[in-house]
Amino acid sequence: MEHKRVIQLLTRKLAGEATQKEIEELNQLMTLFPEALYYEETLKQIAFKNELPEEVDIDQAFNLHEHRYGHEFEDYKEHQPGPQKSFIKRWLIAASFLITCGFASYYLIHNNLLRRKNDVSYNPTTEIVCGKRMRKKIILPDGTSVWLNTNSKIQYDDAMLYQDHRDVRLYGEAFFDVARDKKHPFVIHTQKVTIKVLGTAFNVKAYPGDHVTETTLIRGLIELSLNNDPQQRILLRPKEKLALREDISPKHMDESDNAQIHNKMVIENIEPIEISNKDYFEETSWVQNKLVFKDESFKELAPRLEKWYNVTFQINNKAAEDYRFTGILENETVTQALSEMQIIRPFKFKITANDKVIIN
Amino acid sequence: MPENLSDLTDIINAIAIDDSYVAYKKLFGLLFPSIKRFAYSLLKSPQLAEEVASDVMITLWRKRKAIPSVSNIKAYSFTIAKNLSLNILKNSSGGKIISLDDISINLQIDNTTPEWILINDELRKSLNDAINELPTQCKIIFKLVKQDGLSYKDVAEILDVSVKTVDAQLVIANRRLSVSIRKEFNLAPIKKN
Repeated sequence: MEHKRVIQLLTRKLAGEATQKEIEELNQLMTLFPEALYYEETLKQIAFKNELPEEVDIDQAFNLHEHRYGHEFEDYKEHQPGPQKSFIKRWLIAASFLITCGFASYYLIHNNLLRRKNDVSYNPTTEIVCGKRMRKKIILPDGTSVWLNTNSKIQYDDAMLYQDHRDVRLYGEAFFDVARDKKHPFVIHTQKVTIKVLGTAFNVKAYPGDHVTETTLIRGLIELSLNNDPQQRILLRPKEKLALREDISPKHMDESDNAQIHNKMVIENIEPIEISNKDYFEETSWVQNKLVFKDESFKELAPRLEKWYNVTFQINNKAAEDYRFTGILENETVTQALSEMQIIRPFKFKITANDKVIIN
Repeated sequence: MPENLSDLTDIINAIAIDDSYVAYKKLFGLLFPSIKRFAYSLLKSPQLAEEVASDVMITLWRKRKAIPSVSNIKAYSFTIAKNLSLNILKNSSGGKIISLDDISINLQIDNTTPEWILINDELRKSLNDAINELPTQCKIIFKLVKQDGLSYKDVAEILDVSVKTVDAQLVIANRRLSVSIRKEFNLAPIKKN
């Protein structure tokens, strides 16, 4: 009986719930049974492991939260008189500015070709990494806006303005709104291609490991060259997308020991997707935090959803693979998105540990 | 900002009265990690836990005019987190999971603290085993009190049980652990002769 009572009182004491009277009673029992000290000391030491695989990064968590729900509270940001301009508004202002400065680019690109030869190496001093499930906007020292997509990083030199070129290196996907500066061409280095620009807006998708490198131009004019064949240059015009596909041919086809990598280039016009009377470009809608898809099969869509939500899909239901979906995802969570898709087509889903989405 | 945001009550008032973004961000920093951890212990998915914690925070913002009348904001947030998590589990299990008792809770002693290094492996194992065998509700209560420092009253509110139940469950947990401790230190039973 005393054992029970000691443990009961100890429990309350350790939880900070014991009354003064109970503390006194416990102290008295402890003098009678000094062994009880062992219980107290051991129980006091018990702390539980933090189960979360990684510590919560508050800034990152708040950024994500703003991505999801920012429209509900960002108008209340203080120290900014009046409600803030919406993202779209700011976007349009940037766009109109860019259109006006796009004209001189052709001439300047010719200048560029002459300058190419002194393409010196550069030493990036800053690296910005966008983790999984993050998308962020950064402003480079020269005023260029960069929207960095999930799982991507960009490197640049803080003193880029004092050099001949404004060099940046990109791993992953980014949308650029390049600040105009005639004297200092803006050069983006990726694993496979190098892109020179003067003042324009475009999207580059060059994830290491992906076999396709895509460049989509929205405004202005850019010149693109292949890293393994710098002589070959391509001029890209607005609404054109260049996809560089890597084909690895079988060994025996060639005399050399190395498997040959052939670059296959495809230039195509991008077509706006019309959803609810609005035009969207699939390639760049992520900048506005939207995932747009039109008449895509579940099978094609799954890898995009995987990247968007940082989950993995397992589609067990063969019929579901061929379901076709059209839509825009904005603030939806993965559960909400799938629930909405369930309304269109019948399937079952389950989200298990390790963020695996199983479609049945 | 005229208010001093060091106090939780001030933060809540600034959100409710001034619609303060700064205060909301501060509240987010105070509550989000523990809500996410709690949701994770139920859902076992960092992604879903993140979503739940984010949904809880936006709920607080949406109901900001009413939150000053909430007696304990942490218990209130945990209650929302519990309900949202249970909804997710209910949907993804096809209705098999309807209450906390239907899920399993992982509870592991943190053995990285300096004190634990002094305690031998056998006792550590024995205590961990004892904890693992506790019923779900007991584990959750243990966790909320120990890890989140919540009061009996808060825990009772979150789990929708009586304060008496919270006390009784914790006593059960500690009594089971005391068996391990008694064996380890070879203690005489606490009894009047």
